[in-house]
Amino acid sequence: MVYAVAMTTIGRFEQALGRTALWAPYMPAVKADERVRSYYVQRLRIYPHALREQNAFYSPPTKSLLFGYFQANRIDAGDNLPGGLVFSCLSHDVVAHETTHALLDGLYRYYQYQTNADIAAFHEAFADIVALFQHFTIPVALKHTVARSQGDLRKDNLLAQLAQQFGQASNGSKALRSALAQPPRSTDYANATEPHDLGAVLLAAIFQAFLEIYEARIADLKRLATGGTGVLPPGDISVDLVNRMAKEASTAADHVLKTCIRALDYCPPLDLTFGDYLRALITADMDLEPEDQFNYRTAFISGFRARGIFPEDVRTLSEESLRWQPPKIRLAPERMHKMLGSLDLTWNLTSNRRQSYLRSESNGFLLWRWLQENLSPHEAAALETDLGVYIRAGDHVPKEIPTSEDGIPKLQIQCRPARRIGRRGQQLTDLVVEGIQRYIVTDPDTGLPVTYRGGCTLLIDIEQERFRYAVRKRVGSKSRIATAQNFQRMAADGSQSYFDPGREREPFAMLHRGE
Amino acid sequence: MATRKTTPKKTAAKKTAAQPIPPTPDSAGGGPVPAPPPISVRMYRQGLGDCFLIAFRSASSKPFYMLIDCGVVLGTPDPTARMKKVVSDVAQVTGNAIDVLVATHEHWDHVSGFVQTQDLFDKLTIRQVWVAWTEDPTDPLAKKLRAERRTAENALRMAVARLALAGDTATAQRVDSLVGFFGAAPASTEQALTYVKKRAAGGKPRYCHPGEPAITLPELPGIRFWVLGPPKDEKLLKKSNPSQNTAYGLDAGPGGSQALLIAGLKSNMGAAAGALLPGDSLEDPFDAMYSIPMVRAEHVPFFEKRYYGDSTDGNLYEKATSKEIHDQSWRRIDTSWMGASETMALQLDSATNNTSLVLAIERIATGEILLFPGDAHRPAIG
Repeated sequence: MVYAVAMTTIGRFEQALGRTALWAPYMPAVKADERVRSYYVQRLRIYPHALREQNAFYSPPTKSLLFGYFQANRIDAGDNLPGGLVFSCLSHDVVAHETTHALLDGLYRYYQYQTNADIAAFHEAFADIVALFQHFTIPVALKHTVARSQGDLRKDNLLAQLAQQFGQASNGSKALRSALAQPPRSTDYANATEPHDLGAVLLAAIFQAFLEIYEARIADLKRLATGGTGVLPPGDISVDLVNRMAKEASTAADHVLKTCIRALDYCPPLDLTFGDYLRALITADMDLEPEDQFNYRTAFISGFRARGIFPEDVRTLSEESLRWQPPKIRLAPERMHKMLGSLDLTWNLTSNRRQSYLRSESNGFLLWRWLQENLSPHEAAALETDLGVYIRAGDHVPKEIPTSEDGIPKLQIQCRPARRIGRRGQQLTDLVVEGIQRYIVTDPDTGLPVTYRGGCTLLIDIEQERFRYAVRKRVGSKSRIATAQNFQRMAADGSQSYFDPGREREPFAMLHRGE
Repeated sequence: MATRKTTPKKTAAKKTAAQPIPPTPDSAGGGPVPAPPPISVRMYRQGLGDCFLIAFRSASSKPFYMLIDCGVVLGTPDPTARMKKVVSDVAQVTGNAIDVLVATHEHWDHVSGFVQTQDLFDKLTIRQVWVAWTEDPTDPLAKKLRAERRTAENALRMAVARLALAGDTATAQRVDSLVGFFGAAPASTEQALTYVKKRAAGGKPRYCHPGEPAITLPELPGIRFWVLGPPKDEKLLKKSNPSQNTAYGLDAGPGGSQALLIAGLKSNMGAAAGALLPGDSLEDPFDAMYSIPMVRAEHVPFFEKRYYGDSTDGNLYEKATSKEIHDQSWRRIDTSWMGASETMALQLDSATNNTSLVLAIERIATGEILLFPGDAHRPAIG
């Protein structure tokens, strides 16, 4: 059961991203002046009966999933045998949720670092999204609900019930329950400060988008079934209609899930906000499905807008405005050709995880070297402005950026492929370049060094040899550092800091405990 | 833990700020002794811990003394000497007689003095003892809570030992520091509270219930004592944060959510310190016939290859040095199941705090109130 669900989740990720999924590398603790070492991890370990508590978590230090079991309450056992054993590994939603944590960690290691309230909530919210929508892609699971609600998934009691089942399985979901059951308010996002509440807001926004998409998809079925009146006769609806509606619901869930996962490639590698995620969703959807027959993108935008989640620095909430912009710099075509030529782009999409990992790292290094050796100072300056990181040595590099002995600012680069379908149905592959740079500041209160990070995600069209999008989080940005400091301070004051990968050995364990 | 204690009372007009307890008549120089203030509070500064001596101006010539708690947290250097200084001062000021002794709750930083300086307390006359209803041996809810607390405390002490033995010193220390609120040895705080209750006149302390009418004493006509906590509602007692509306079960009996964990902690230490030995009770997840003891599993080829020996499929590969690492031990989860003891310790700590006796002392004439909440969290105050 555990294996099947985990593999399904992994398969879904690989299908959405168009490449093999990687696990986070193993990085043993090192002393202060030692080099940080990272080792490729081939397999995730899953321990279905690991803990004697009502908990399940992804363990970054051991790269494994741990599931717990516990005795149901003797007095109030819900649907279980009073005093009987309840195994969390037998819940599809819990397994999918934890596997998603592992997959997201494998993609963006720095999403564990809580530099703002949104990213603190994102790991949980994203894992809930994947688990919930993967649940809905199973038509059998929905048929009963669709039949009972006569196809109207908005009926309040049904939503609350779905969330309740879901909430019973995945811990900490009282917030989720109320977020899905209540109508949205434009102050929802602003008022949510706790990570659980914020996560519930994001999930509710995406869920609303799903409902709108579903309703758009069944509109013609309803017209056919009701002869245009839109009013179904009372009592049970026909089995055929239930089947078709359930199928549409599961298709809608499948598409929403794919977009949500795909959007990860369009996200910054750290310090994500929900507004960024919306832009990533829209951009990903525009790439995946340029003809938007059922207005998926409008559904996403309205789901976020209804809760007051707005991206920064956009002029309007139109698709074109929300789409990420390419960097301003334009390298001449032959320069781009040479740059891409220096990399090994013979992607082997079907297999060998280790090769993918090694290739992604080596391409990162080759790209970095090409940039060092081939950019003119003018181009380098322009690129640095566009991407928000420092590439070459010079006086313009702030002292807070760690450098090598030659004064070259340290910059971690990784490359990976991302497949998409073009307008005419042809398969295209993008190169996703991720760059991360550290910025070390001395904390005025303690005198200790504190590391902040900046970075960017750059998408390059390999066929046309041009930059497509740049998503940047400028290194050393004063406003981002201030936000991070404020958030750390608030989290430290609060009696329950969400998790802190620096302090806790098992950061994800504490998320679900103490409920 | 440090508590935000009282309020300086809400003063109507500016007068009577809390004044220090005036020196005893012997030591004053000549001249008339000023009238003692109606209420004065001496807060002893032995360290992280509570000890309040409250003096009320009474109808008789001698003030009425109330002592609330006497303790200092585990880990304070030289605690016995410090508490001796505190209690000697109490004895001297009160003339070896305390009218009311209050013990708010069973945490070491509130009651350690009753053990550490018991000889000095033996010499004091104590007229009344007030404790919370949760100390009443005849109250069924109180008994249940105390039994849960004992079981959890013992399980946690075992957890500390087993974690330390298994090498997870970080978690062991954290749990240990929380368990330290119950004193260094098992049942230390229980022992302290038993002593306190024993010292009541006739061995019968007053068990205070919230919601009962205000306590008035004949010696103090102008003062009323209100009992605001602990609440009689089990859910409120276990709540620590009002925004989380879940009541967690510290119920260690079968069927409690912590039951399996506690059973695992209590069972015999196996050869491998992190191991759980299979038993035959329903508290084990599977029948004994499905289990393989860890010591034997080490020699089963399947397990040996995948968990104990070196990894044979070149799992770890460092790109920088092209080195392969074959050690797999970093992937073991032997002690992960004990990690939950930290949360259990926090919950236990919180629940115990919420059994604090909360007293509000009202001066009837002016309506001013002194609030002594012990370590209770807000929602537990009635």
